[in-house]
Amino acid sequence: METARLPNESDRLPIYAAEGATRFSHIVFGVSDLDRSEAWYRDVLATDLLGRDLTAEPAPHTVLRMNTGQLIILVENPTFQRPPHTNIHQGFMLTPSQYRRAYERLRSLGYEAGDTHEGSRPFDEYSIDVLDPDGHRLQLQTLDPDADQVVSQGVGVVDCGPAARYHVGQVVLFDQGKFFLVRLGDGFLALSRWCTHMNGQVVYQKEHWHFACPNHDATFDRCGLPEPYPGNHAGVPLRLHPVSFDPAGHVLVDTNRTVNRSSYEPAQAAQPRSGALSAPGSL
Amino acid sequence: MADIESISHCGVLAADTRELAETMQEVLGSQRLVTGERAYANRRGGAPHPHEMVGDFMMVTFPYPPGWTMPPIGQLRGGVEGGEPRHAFATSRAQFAALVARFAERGIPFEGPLEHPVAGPLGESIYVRDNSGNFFEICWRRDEDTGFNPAPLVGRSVVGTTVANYAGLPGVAVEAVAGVVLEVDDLARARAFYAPIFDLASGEWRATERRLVYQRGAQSVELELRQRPRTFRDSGYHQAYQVPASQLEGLVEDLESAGHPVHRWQDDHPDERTLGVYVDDPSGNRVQLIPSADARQLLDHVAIEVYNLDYAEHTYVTALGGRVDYYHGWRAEDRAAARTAVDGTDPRAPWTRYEAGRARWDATRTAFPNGQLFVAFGATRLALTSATAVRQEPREEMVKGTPRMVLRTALSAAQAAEALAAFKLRFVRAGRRLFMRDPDGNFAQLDCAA
Repeated sequence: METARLPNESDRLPIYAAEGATRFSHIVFGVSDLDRSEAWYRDVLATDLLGRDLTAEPAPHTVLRMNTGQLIILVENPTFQRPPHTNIHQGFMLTPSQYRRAYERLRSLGYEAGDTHEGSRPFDEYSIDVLDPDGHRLQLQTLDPDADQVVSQGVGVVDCGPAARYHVGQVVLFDQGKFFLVRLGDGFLALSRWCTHMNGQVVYQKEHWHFACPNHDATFDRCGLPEPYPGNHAGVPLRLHPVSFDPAGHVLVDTNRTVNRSSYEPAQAAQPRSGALSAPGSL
Repeated sequence: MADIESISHCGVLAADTRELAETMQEVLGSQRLVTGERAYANRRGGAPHPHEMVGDFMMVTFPYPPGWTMPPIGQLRGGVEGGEPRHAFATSRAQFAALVARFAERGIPFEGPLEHPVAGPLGESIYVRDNSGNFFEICWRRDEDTGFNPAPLVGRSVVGTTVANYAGLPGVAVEAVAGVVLEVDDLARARAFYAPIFDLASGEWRATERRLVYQRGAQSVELELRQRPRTFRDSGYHQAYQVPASQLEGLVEDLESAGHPVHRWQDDHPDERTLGVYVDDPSGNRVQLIPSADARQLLDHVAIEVYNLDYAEHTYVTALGGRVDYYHGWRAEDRAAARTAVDGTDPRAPWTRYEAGRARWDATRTAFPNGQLFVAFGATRLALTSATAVRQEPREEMVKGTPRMVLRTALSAAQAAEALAAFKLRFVRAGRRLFMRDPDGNFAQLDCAA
């Protein structure tokens, strides 16, 4: 039997919205059979049933509520036309524990509970696509509470070889340790590959001289700083692993330790000892 | 307790996704999160689609597909007939009247306010539809003081996006595209190519050993000698020059006779929807010839490619003071027009379209409009085209380079430098000139006032 990828048990999510002037209040779905849909949203989606005909909707309707107070209003329309199958969906957020229960509930009821976009999700994001009885496409989504924390690779100190092997400007990926070794004029940086936005794995795009996360397009310069444009999902710099040099002049990166930072300072870059001078730059 | 926290986001189909996003910004105070597009190497696919944050909710807007049916004219309250549901946003009871007034002031038709039963969670609502037939509701809630759980956001999609807050900063106020500096591999051959084009109107040539300059009025074209000129063949990069309309066809004949293949393509800007004339100079710089009554203006527009339309808009609109006078790719009609490219009869220029792998939800969709933003600086224009290929950007430390466009501002160099620094753009100053590099590696020169 297929093994599901499921989040850790938790009743928390990493990020909540601040109080704002405008909030989402409710969504109104047309449904062809109110009894059937009411039962589905109550028992399958597991929302709280508030009651029937509690709003000014002119047709028979049911009001259901989520824990944020947001509502789902199902309005009966016997001539309801099934929505076309586009990629348009309504996204719901669950805590990791709610998600695990939803997954089990859906599987026990015979739903596939699959994720059509699994390959494009960050490490700690989980998602299920499901259709309600009238064909409305819903997405159930969660994130581990540590979805923005570094994932330890358990490889300890990585020997990257002689410092002289690297020229100024070079960027090399050490995938086992999930870091990039970057040689700048200031010295060596070991940048964690885990995106500080949401634990995607950044790639180095040499054509653009920057790191980019394939999940949400966060971009960072070669010092690991977020590129400064509005809308960049990168909020804080890529994390560092400490760099040192052994007596033979090898570059050592300690993946057990992670350094958070808010800016780049030249002192963050480790300078090799004399004798491990840079090869001619190839920028 | 429910076993589900919240609804966090949705997709919305619209005739004009950018227009819907801008309406949301104006009326509900939403913020653009990002414009999804095929930002890198065909990875994302799809035409530009804005992601808009309305309070704690993300709306991703897509051009609607063929066959979209509009609700009857005059229907303001709906969302239960089939198709897309109705989305409702709450404001506080205290703010509700002011929000309703805002709709009225802007002439946006709505139904209501309608009072809900006191036994229910809602207070009053107004109902509104957008230009695409999507239904929305604005309400206040009787349970607004209930201590519900806070709403979790979609991932961290809105957190950490305020890397830099540029609100209220004065931009550079560029007045015009004043010229271009291009690379060529042979000045004599370049002059032989450009002279028949430029000499159809009055102007002046100047030459040095390694440079050729043509000046007409306040605009100029500088051709710099390079052994291996950096040009962008087969791309959206081009320079559009005005020529007297009465002499255009004769010029085309002369160019073809001289061995320069001439292409006739249609562009997407409303001013360029008849077949235009395109030809490459001997070094590979693409030239467009724009028919004009008097050709008093040398450069009509310049087109460059960018990898991130949001970042480019931030640079050329917010920081440099341009005005978006047209956008392409955000509308359903743009997408529908692009689909006709599949049969090979579309006369549009190749960089305005691209084909992608078949989307799993629509096996017939294979051609998309390439995202294009047209930014006006006075009577001149800069076309920003979503990159047609991944190209190596110049060395990271280079700020002054070629090819570059020349922009003119009435600001002093000190003022312009201050503005560019505030917008975190890279530049160097040389007297009254600032040389800058945009975030996608395109070079520009700002000619400042004394």
